[in-house]
Amino acid sequence: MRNSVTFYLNGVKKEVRGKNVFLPLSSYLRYEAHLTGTKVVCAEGDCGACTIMAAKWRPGSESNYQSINSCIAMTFAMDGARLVTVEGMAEKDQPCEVQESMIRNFGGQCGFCTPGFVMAITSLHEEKAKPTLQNAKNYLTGNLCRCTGYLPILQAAMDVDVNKHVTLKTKYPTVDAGGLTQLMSEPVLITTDGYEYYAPTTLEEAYRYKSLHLDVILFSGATDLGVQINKGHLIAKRILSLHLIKDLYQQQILGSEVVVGARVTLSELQKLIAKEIPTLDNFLNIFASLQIKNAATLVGNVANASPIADTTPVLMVLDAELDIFGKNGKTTRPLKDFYIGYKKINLQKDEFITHVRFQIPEQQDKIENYKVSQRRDLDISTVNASFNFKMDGNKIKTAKIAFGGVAATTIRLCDIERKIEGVEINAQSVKNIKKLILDSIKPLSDMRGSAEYRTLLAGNLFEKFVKEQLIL
Amino acid sequence: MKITHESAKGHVTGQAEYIDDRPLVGREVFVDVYYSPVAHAKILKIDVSEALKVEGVIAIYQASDLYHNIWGNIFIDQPFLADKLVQYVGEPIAVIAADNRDALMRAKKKIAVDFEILKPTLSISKAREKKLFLGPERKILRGDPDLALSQAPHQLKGVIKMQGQDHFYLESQACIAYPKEDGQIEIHSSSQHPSEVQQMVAEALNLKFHQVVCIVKRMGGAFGGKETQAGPFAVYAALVAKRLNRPARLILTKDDDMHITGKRNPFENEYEIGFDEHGKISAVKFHLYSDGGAYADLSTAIMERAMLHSDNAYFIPHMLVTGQVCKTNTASNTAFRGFGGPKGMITIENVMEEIALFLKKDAFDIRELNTYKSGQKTHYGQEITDNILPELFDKIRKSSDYDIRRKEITEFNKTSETHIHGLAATAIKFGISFTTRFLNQANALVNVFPDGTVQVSTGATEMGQGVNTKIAQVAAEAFSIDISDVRVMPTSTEKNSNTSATAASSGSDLNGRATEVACEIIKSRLSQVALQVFNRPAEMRGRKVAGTGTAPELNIEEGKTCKVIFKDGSVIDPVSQQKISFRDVLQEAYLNRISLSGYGFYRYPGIYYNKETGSGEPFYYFTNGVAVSEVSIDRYTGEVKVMRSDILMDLGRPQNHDIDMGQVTGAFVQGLGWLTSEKLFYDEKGVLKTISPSTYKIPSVHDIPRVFKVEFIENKKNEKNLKGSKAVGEPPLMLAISVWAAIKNAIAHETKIIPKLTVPASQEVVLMSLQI
Repeated sequence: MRNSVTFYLNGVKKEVRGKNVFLPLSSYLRYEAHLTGTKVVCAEGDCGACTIMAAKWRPGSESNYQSINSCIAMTFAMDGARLVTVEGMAEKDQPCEVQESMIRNFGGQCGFCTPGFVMAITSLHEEKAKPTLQNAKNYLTGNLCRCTGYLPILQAAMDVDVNKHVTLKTKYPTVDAGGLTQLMSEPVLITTDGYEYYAPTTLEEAYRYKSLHLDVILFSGATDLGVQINKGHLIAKRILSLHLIKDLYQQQILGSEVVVGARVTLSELQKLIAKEIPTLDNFLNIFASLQIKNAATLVGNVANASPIADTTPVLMVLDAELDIFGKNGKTTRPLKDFYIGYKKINLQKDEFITHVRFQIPEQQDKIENYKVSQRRDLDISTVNASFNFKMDGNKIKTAKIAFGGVAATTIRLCDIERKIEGVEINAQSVKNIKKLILDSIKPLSDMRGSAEYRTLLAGNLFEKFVKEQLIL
Repeated sequence: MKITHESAKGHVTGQAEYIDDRPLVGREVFVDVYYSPVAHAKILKIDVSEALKVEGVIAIYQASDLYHNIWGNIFIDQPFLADKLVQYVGEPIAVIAADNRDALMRAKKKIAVDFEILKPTLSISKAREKKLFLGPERKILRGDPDLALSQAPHQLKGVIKMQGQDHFYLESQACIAYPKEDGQIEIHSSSQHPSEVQQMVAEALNLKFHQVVCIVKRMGGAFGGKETQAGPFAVYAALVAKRLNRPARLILTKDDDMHITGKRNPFENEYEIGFDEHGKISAVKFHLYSDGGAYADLSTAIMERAMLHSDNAYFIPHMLVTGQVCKTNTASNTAFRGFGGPKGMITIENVMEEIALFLKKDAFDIRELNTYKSGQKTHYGQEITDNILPELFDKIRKSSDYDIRRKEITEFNKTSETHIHGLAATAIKFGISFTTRFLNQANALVNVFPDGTVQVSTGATEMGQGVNTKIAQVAAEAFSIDISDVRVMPTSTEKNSNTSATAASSGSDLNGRATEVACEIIKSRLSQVALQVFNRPAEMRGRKVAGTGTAPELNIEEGKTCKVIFKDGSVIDPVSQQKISFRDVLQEAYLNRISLSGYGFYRYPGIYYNKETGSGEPFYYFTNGVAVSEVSIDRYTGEVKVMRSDILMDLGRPQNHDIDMGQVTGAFVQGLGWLTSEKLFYDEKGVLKTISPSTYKIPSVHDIPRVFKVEFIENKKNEKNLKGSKAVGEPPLMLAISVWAAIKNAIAHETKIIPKLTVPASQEVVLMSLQI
C-alpha cells in the first residue's frame, strides 16, 4: 500500500503526501511548487487560464500529453501522470517555438490568459502534425481571452514552425523509465487530518470500501466535483479513485456494440467512435472543451444525472445500457430508466457504474444530435435533443427521440415513438408530432432561457431534424 | 521591424508577475470581503463572533474601523463598508483577515447579519416611477426639434433597451498592502488609477497622501473595471495591513468579483425622429436613461459621453438629447471600454436601420446621406474638421463588396428555408479626451543612465493595451536608440504624482506626449553638451579631466534648443558633421554635473465643455472607423453566426501597427459579446445569477467573424496628436454595432416589420423576434 501519489512535474519526480494531496492541482502548482505561470480565473474549468499538459497513466499503453484544466483537477488524481506547466516549455530562458510564435504574432495583451493559450496551442501541435484552422479553433475552445479577439492567437497557432517545434513527448518522454508501472500496481491509501483517499486495484476492493463507507465520493475526471469543491459547495473528506483498476479502461467496439469503461475520457470516446458514428463525433466537438473532454469520462457524465447533460440524449437513442457493480457482482440497467428524478439515479449507495454500452446505428439510420446554448461552444445546453429514425421511404419505421433541458431529467419519449411508427412525413404529420412533443415536456425558466423559449426550441429542433435528415 | 509587446516574453513564459504571483512574505495574511446577500435592507445587527472562532481567522473589521467610510469619484456617496443600509447584493460589509485561504471561505459563512428587508428597485422603469435618480438631468439642445419633428414628412419613435456587461478581466480585483515604517503603506494594486488608490487609502485610514505609495506593475485586463473600483479593495487590504502591521493580500474569486463590482450601465433610450422621403434626418429627440446601480460612481460622466455620442457620424440639424442616471439596487455601475459611447451610438445607428426599413431603402444609403460633412458642427457645437467619414464609407462600400453581397443576401433569403442572412454597415466618430477637462494631464519621468539605457516612468498603467510599449517607442525614437535599451517602469505614485486614470483611450496620447516632453528636456541639455564637446580637444573632455579638475565645467541653458541630431545611437552636429556616441555624450554630461533626468508634463490644449449648457469643444480630435458585418441566423434555434466583418479605421499614423490591430480585433469582439451573447441575469430578488464563465458567456474563439478583415486607412493629415497617431483603445468596440444592426436587418427580412431588438440580441431574443 502506497501512502503518496507520484507524478512528474516538468521532468522532476514528485511524491506528494498528506494534506497537499487533496488540493486542487492549480493550488499545488501555484502555492506549493511556486509555479505561478499557471493562472486561475474561474476555478471551474471554463476559461482555460490554468491549462497545463498532462500525460496520464494508462495501463499497458504509452500515454500522450493532453491539455487539462488544472484548477478542477485534483492533485490526488495526478497519480502516475507526467505534467508540464508553462514553466517547462522554455529551454534555458529561450522561449520554445510555440512561445515565439505567440510573441511574434502579438498573441498576448494583458498576458493573463497567455500561459493557458501557450499550453492549448502546444496540445494542438502535440496531436496534429498539420493543423487546419478549424483544428486550431477546436483546440482553443476551452481558453477565453478578453483582450485580443482571438485573431492574433489563431495566427500564432497556425504560424508555429513545425520544423522548430519540439513535441513534449520528445522533450519529456513518457516511456516508463521511472518505474511508474510498478508503482501503479500498488493501491494507495492516504489518511490525514480527517481526510482519506483510497485507490484500490480491483473492483472487489472498491466495492468493499464503498459498502463500508456509503458517503464516499467517487472521483474520476473531477470536472464537476472539482467545481463543487472550489466553490465551497462540497467538502470531499473521503475519496475513492478507480484509476488503478485496469478493467475500467476498456474501450472497444464489439460487433455493433461500443463498450466504454468508467475511466475512459470523452476524448478517447471521440476517437473510438469517430468512424462508426460520425454524427456523435461531430457532436462531441461542441461538447465542452478539449481540456474538459481530456479529463471527463462518459460514465461521469451519465452518473452526474444533469438534466442538461450532453451525452445522455445521444446515449438514450443509441439504446445505452449501464454495467453496474454491486452486492451481486455485475448487473445491467438500461439508461432510459436510470433517471428517476432531478439528479436522482437508480443506483444503490454501495453500487457504482463500471461501463456504458451502446449500439452503433446502421448506415441508413437517420440520426442527429442537437445542442442549443447561449454560446455555441463550451456552454451548458439550454435544450439538447437526439433523434434516431429508421425510415421506410417517406414513412417512419422506428423512432427514438430524447430531449434534455425540458424536464427534471433527460427524457426519452417512448410513448410518442410508438405512436408515430408508420407515419408518413409531411407538413401535417410534422406539425402533429411537434405538438405531441410539446405536450409531453415541462421546461422551466432560468438564466439559460425561459420556458417559452425552451418549448419553442424543442419543437423547432424536431423540425430541423426533419428538414436536415428526413426530407432530402 | 515589428516591435512586440514589451512584456511578451514574460507573458508567454509565465514569468510576467501579477499581484497573486508575488511571493508570500513573512507573516502575510489573506483578506476577503463579506458582502450583502440581499439587495436592499437595513442592517440591524452584524454578528461576527462565530466567524472569529474559525481556526486561522485573525480579525474581522467593519465600517467603524475606518476613519473615513465614504468614497466616490464624482459624488461622494458610497460607503467602503455598509453599516446601516445595504443597497445591492454584493455590497461589502466586513473584511476578514486570516492566516490561510481556506479559513476565509469558512469564516464568510459564519458571519450573521440581521437585516430588515426593504423592497429593492431593480429596473430603470421602476426607478423612474419612484424618481430615484443619481445626479441632475442633463440636456443638449440645438435648434427646434419639436417644430422640426412636426414638419417632417415622416416620424418614427420607440425605445431601445440595453443590458449591462461585465468586464470579465481575467485577473479579478487584487491587491497586496505592505505596512512600512512610520505608518506608511505600500500598495501593489491591479488598478488603472494608482493616484486615486493612494488618495482613497489615505483618506479612509487617516493617513496623509505622502504616507501611501501605490504601485501598479501590470493588470490582467481592466477595460474600465479597475478605474474607480480597484480602490475599495486596496482600502480593505490597507486597513488590515495597518491594524495588524502585517502584509495583507486580497485576491477576489471571479464569482465574488462579479457580485461585488459594477458593470457597464444598462440604458433605456427613447427616440423620436423626423425625416424626409430620402431618409434625410431633420430632427431627433433622444431621452437617455441609464441604470447607475446603487451609487453614482462614474455614471454621470458615462451618461454625458452617451449624450455627446448620440449623433455619432451623422449631422442632425435639430436635436435634443436629455440624460438621466437612475438609481437601482444593483452593483454600482462604472466605466467600461467606450464609456457612454456605445449607448449613444447604437441609439442613432438603430434609427438609421429603422428609417431604411420604413422607407424600404438600403440603410447604407441612409447613412451616407446623413454623414457629417466638413465644417458642420455637432449638436454640442464642436466643428468637424479633418473629416474622413465620407471617404471611409465610400471605401468600405467597395472593399467589402457591399452592393454585390446585398443582392446575394436578398436572393438567399428568398430561397433558404433554414437560414436568414443580414448585412449592415455602421460607423464611429469617437471623441478623444476626458470630457472633464482637468483629467487631461499627464507627467513622465525619464531617467537616462551613462551606459545609454533609459528608464521611463509615467502615470499610465499597463493593462494589456500596450501603452508601455508605445511609451518605450517614444523614448527610443527620441534618443534614436534601440528599444531594448528602454524600460518602462512599474507605475508608482512615488515617481508620478497626481495622475489621471489610464482611461478614455488617452493613455498613450497623454503619457506618450509627457514622455516626449521629458525626452526633449534631456535632449536639449545633451545637444548643448555635444556642441561644446565638439569644440574641445579630446584631452579636455570630462573623462580625462573630471578627476583632476583641470578644465572648466561645461554649462548649459535649460530649455535652449539647438540643431543637433540624435541618430542611431549617435549625436551629430548637422553643420560640422561631427559625431559623438550617445553613451559618450551622457558620460560628458554626467561628469559636468548636468542632469540626465527629465520630468515632462503635458495637457491637451484648448478643450472645454460646459456641462450645464451642454456646449463646447470637449474633444481634442475624433477617431473614426466603419464596419460592414454579415450574419447568418438559424431559423430553428436563433443561433447567430457572424459570417464576415470588414473594418476600416483611421488611426492617423499608427504608432505600432500590430498593437493597434490587436486593439481593434479585441475591442470589436468585446463589443460583439455585449451585443450578442453576454447576458446578465438577475433573479427577482436582485441576485446576479450569471457570475462566472459557466453562465456568463463572453465570446469564444469560435464566435469571431468567420472572415475578419481589418484595415487602416492612410491618413497623414493628423498632426495634432502624438506622432500623428490616433487613440485606439475604445473606438473599435463600437464597430461591433454593425453585427447587431445586421441581425436586425436579417430579422426584418423575415418578419417584414421593424423588429425591436434589445442588447444583447441573444439567441433567445433573436428566435423570439422571428415569431410573428
